[in-house]
Amino acid sequence: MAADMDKLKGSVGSETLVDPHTVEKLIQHFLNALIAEQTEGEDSK
Amino acid sequence: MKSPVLIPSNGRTRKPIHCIILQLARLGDTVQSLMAIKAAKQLYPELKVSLVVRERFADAALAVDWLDEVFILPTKELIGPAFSDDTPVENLIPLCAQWLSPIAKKPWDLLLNWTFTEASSFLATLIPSKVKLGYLQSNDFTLSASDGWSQYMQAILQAGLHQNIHLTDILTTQLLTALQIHHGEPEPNGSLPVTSKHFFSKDAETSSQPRKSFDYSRRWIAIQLGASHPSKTWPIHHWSKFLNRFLSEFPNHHIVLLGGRSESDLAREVLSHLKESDAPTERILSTVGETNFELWTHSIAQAEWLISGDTAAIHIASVLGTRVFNLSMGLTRYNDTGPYGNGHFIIRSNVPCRACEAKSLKEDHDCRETLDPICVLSAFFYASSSWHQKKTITFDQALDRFSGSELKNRTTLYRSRIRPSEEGGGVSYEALTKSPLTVEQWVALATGHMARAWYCGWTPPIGLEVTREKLHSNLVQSLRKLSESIQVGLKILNEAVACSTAFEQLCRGLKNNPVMTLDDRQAISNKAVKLQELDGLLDRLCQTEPSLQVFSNMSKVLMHNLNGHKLHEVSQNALASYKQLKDGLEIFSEWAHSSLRMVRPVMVKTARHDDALPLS
Repeated sequence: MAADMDKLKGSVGSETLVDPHTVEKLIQHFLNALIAEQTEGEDSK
Repeated sequence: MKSPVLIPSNGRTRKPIHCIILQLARLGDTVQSLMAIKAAKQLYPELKVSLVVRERFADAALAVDWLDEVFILPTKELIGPAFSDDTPVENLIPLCAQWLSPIAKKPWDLLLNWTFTEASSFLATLIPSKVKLGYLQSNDFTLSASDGWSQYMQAILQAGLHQNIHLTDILTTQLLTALQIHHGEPEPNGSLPVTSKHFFSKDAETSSQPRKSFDYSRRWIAIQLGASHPSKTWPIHHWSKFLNRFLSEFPNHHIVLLGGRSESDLAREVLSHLKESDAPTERILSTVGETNFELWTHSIAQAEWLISGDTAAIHIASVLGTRVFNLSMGLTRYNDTGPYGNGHFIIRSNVPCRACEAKSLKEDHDCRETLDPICVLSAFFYASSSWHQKKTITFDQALDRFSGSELKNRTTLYRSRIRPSEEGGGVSYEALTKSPLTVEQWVALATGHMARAWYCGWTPPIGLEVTREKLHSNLVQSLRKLSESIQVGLKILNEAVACSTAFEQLCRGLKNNPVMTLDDRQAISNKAVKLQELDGLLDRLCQTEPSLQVFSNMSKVLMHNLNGHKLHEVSQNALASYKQLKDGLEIFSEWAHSSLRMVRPVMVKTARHDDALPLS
């Protein structure tokens, strides 16, 4: 069986920075997720 | 602007590949990532790797001199105010943006998110890169697994399902495949050994800590007493009993105890028990509580063996080429994250553990108690002697000699080996005890085989790792039942492939995506409803047959990650996903047939009277 290269190549074409509004939203989500991880315990990973 | 540096290589010139890897997990994961990166750098000398790590687990990344840059995520600084004085998250955004700015500005060719968490998926989405692999965020702010191996991680490893491909092999293969697809073939002579006593070479050059306590003329065994979680920590009384017997059975060996400040009490108690029983504690050097990363790695590098539970130390020993004797307890799966390389040993209790069966982290794990210190000592004696190398006696016989037969069958001892590429490559763990194969172990083998077929494109012959004597009647019964479920699953998936083929043809025939005739819309909707029904059927089948859980999980992850801007592209993706599931289930089917063929009764040839006694 040949491996499906399309499935392995990853997400292509994300070299441009997303718009400032989305950047802000993503950072907020990132910080919230970090806080949630910390609350659950960093050791649980 | 500077022109890019071109690295000459065998007469060719290769442009540098700028790669950023996110590893925000613990130290053990960082060390495994470093092993994968080093292997890739040997094959692609033009690869420039920058690593993002957490401040608390940055030591290993900072100790190697072949990373281009290490970006440290200052977790405390970024989110600390939210805990200390309830600062709203919105107020923390500018500081995070400031930290992120230099990383996001660089022109990355390749980003790999090896953290496999929700938080890291936001960070991976924020950093622009030509190609991205690992967990990302979709436009609708849901987590997406952007490539095959990430989907496998999400559906199988993170769901705690059984499989047998080591994390280091997954990371290495994911990176090398991406490099091959996007940047061409590797160097022909790049497969040098990755492990070395000087893996953390920066430490060796900038050494500041005195090492006078180490007498290099002695034979050292390093012992990591604690672990990151109580469920993975061997009880104090077991360590004491083990060390007491060890010191008398191995009179020429010295012991160095390793551990952080949080393990100081544990070390004190063990040493106090040993003193009470008049053990020769002068042969023990304790560095617990005083060990920095440099002394820790140095101690492990100098030791003949590291004896440890499931800790980062086993990965450090693996990269330093020190042999590991791993006490496996709790929910840890040695197949995923055991010591990497040839000739390491893993011992695990066979006595059923309620907390392990319930997959509980909170309850006390009986498998810690039932991992008997005398069994461990016998196994270590066996592993470190030439008995197993010369195969003069088996582990069971060694156990008999050491402790009598009452401890027999209470543990399983595994030995690691790197498989030759014709057998599938990667590390595998071979059981040295005669315990029969469990259903979970069988599923792990078949799942690993399926993943190699999906993502590597070729596999060794079916059933190479199964022998007839490993197939116990309980397993055979389960496999017969499983075979029936597999046939049902194949019917469902064949229908799904047929339905999604028709769905794809309908979508391909559309002249305009947003505008379609009512008939077309109805026909497409009917196919979509049918596919949903088939998904539901597959899910129910996997609920009744837990050995097929991998297919239900993979189906959900694949369907969530269908991408494409047009309906036709999404339908093509759906068809490829159903075909992938069907191919995988066919591999399970071949595995079941192959195993059941092995236990089929074989006619024994007997000599006929007329053959045996020729008439005169």
